[in-house]
Amino acid sequence: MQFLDQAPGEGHVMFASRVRTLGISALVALLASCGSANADCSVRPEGACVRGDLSGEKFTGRDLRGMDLRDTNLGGTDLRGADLTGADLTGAVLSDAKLQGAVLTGALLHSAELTGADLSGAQLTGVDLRKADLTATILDGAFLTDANLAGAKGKPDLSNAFRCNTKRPSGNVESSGC
Amino acid sequence: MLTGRSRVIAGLVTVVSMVAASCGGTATSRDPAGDVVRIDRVFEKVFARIARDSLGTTRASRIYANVSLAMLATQAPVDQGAAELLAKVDGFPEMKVPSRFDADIATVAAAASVARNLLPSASDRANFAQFRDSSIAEMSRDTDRETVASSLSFAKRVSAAVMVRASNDGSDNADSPLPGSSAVSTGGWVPTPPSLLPAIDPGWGAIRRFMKGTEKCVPAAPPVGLDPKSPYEEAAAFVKEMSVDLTDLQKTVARFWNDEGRGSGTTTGHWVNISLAVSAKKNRSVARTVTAAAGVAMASADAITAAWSSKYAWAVERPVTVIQRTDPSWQPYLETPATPGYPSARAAASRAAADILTHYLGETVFGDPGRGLTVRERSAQGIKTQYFESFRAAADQTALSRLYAGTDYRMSVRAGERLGGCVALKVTTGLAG
Repeated sequence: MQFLDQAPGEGHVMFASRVRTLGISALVALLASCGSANADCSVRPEGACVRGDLSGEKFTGRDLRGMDLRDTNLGGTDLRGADLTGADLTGAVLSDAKLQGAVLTGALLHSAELTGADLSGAQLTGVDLRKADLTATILDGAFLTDANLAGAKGKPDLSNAFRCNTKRPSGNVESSGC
Repeated sequence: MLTGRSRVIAGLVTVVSMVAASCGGTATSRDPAGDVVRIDRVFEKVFARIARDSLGTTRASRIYANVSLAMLATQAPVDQGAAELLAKVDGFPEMKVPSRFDADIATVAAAASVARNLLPSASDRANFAQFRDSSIAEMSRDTDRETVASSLSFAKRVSAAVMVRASNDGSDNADSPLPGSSAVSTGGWVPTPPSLLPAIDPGWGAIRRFMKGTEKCVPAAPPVGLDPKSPYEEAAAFVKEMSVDLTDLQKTVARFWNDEGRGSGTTTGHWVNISLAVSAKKNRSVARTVTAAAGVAMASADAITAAWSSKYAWAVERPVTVIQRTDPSWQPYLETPATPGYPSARAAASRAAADILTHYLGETVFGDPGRGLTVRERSAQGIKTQYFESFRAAADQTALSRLYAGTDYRMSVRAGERLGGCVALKVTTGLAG
């Protein structure tokens, strides 16, 4: 495919601009290409690899189930009502992302950055949020059944989330047996 | 006809439920039909897992009854009929009702929680959690967060109360025989061919009943003959005679109500599904749908427990055991369950369910495509839709089906029918229809 024939070093910029023009099916193909050993990658200040930049994009209500979005920059991205069931967002950057009402059932968000992200009313059933950065993350009305937040940073306010068998950042399980 | 005492109780329940309704449930702009569908979905998912795991009659009935009890307890604060039935449940605590809550949200949440706790495999737990959270998220769209939170908090307390009751119901010890059960003697039960399985849940008769007073329903001692080889020789001869030249229709009836093994939701699941289907056809509200289904599930569970108690108290040998003594090549049309033969639990559960449905839904003509089986099993077994003029007519056919199956004596199904009728009467006495 044409968009894979890119010059070395152009990948990061190409990636984002192609998504804008090619839409969701292209996103699937582009992200699939990121899994390869030669995946394009920019480096975060802390040294981790960011494989693609989709920051500020709009995926409202889109079907993104099971997608591999590891280490992807989704900062400020509009994912309201999107279905991210089973998606792999390990290490992804979701700072200030709009995730109100999104479905993240069984999604992997291990070590993801969710600072300032709005997850109001999101379905986080069975989600893996271990070691995620939840500084100022909004979780009002989010469903956290079976969610694992062990080691999550940022002292998230869970008081208005619906908790059931939820593992808190401290490792304590809340409302077990429900 | 209400007795003086039951009038007082009914009156009290009415007052309690009216007070509760005035300060409890909230109006919602959701389509109530959608909420009824969600109730159906809970049972559908439970049924699918019971069918997949080949859960037995006893344990399946306990799951249906507890799931429906959670539904009933969350509807009781806003519905008089539900409150009346809940008042008859044995050992369920009085729940503090929140000042503002959405009963349907609480119902789906509590029922899914109980299901996920009673079906403890990791995948089932995750599946029910996902179902619950996605259903609640969908139902909450037009409901303020405070109401959703208090509804879920109420649901959590209800499901906890149901689980506490369930964990103390004695079902953990059901593998052990009841003390004082009859030892094997002349005419005593022995494992039956071809599987020769050990007795199923010999201690189940001692588990806690759901509805008050149903423990008083006990069948008479099995009538016996004087034949020295077996007191059930004559009864078995009738079964054998019936097995000769069994018609295709009779075979179909036997399969239709067998509700056994893989692909089956068991007898209780069959009748709960009938209840849901007829309630939907009559456009019943969530509360009335739940009340009828809960009545069916809990009465059916109690009828099965009562039957199990007598089965192991009398330990009557099955027809196949008696007949094969003189005719080793004889086989019943369907495999005989691994329990003693008196009374028939299936006849008891079906009659109890039918009488409960008649109470709540009235005499109704209905079609049944074979709701005790999954669609795939119906197709595999060539099951076709049958139409019944009443619930009792369907229960009568269930009883007959065990004679056609060659698994039960006529005296067993008759005793089962009487037992089920007694259980239903204990449940419905004093209840408004």
